[in-house]
Amino acid sequence: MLPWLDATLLLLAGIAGSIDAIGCLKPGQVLTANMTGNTILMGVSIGQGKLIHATRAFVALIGFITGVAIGAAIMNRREKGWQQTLSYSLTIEFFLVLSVVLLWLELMNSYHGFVVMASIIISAVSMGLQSATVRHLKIPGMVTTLYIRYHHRRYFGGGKKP
Amino acid sequence: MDLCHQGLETRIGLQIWIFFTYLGMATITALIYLQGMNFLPVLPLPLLLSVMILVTRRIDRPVIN
Repeated sequence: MLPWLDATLLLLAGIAGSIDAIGCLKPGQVLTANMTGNTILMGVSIGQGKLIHATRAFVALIGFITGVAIGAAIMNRREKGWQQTLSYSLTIEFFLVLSVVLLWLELMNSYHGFVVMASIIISAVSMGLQSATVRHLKIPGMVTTLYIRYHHRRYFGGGKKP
Repeated sequence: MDLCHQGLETRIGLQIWIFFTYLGMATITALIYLQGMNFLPVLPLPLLLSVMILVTRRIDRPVIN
């Protein structure tokens, strides 16, 4: 049986994979958990002149950065131990993912540009928050989402030591 | 002790597990989508609930130093 922290990391990676797959297939064809691939998609869209797709990818990038900033702010303000901070962050992420799921269910019935954009923003924020949370665990080289790790270590410090 | 607090090789091993978990969940989600099942968007929620239960159960047990 896996130790609980390893299982947690695997489950978080599974959430990221699932959300990326849905985001790529259904709402706006963007990756909201992995900004490396999203940046490539944005470049390809710009190159092909598909500005709507490029805008969606850019919005996802901004949402991800916002999520990381929120996560870093949560980590910095809590000093009672990393576990409690982790549960706060995951609770916020849960409600964000819940609202994204509700928006996706709405998209199953009808297609609205506003709903697509809202689902992209919220899922990107939730994945940014997850990225900051995993970063706070201070496990060298361990990520469940990619790309922005260096930047929020540089600008936000990744939280105080427990 | 957790895998991720052991040596570099073991952490690489966990990162490989994370990669395959990500790939597997993306594949499963895509397969469900191609089957046309409407419960597709609900897929991340049970996983996130499992994470929250795991974290809550260990809330008073310091693991990271």
